[in-house]
Amino acid sequence: MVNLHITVPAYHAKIENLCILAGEAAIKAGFDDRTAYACQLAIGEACENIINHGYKEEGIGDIELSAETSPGKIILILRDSAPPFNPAVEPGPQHWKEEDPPVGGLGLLIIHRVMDKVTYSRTGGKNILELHKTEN
Amino acid sequence: MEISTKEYRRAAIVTVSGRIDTSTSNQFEETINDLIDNNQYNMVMDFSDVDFLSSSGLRILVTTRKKLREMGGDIVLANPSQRATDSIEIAGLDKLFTSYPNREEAIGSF
Repeated sequence: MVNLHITVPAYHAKIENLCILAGEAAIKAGFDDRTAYACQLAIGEACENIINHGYKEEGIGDIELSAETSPGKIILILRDSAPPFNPAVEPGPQHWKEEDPPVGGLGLLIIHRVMDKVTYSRTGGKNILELHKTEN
Repeated sequence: MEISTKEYRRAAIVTVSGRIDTSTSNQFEETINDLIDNNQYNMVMDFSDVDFLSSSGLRILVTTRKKLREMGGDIVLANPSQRATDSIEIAGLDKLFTSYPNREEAIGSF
């Protein structure tokens, strides 16, 4: 098993660093480029939510990302100290008309569509979000 | 992210390279709004060099499409990268944005 770890201050401009690590971890797990991008996308969306809906502003806390990889499997674990915020609740079915497409909730939708399992817990004053992906 | 625009008689082309995410989406939206203010209601998004497209960027595409269609225009894509295509498809928005293999065909669609 390979473990990677990074902590960044919760600024939008720092999300790219977390995405890069998620992509590297996915490649180490043996995923193809498109699946690695999907993992980057999920981490990007989760981090946007942490800053925008958790901390509610930039620069008042950190975001930690740990990546645990083994062949064909990756677990991405995000930790933050924002007030409790649970993105693990899967959005309901999307019913929308072409003339009135959705503008909200796309981030959560993307996370749940690209990852196999999403879990949330709160421990020691921290939100812990686990994103699991296994090779099909 | 790098962004540039070129206005033609039929449509304006917005060329973006790099990341469209929460840290760059304001610049992306301002560029589009400047074109709308300049009465450009047909837009081609050249996303051939976009290497990351998050929900922040997707939201701008959706709201721009709505604005343009209300004004009798539309928005199409030219040669989107695999990553941009993946983001749009994962979000289930691919039916909203017609994609053309190059800028010329995209402009010609208007």
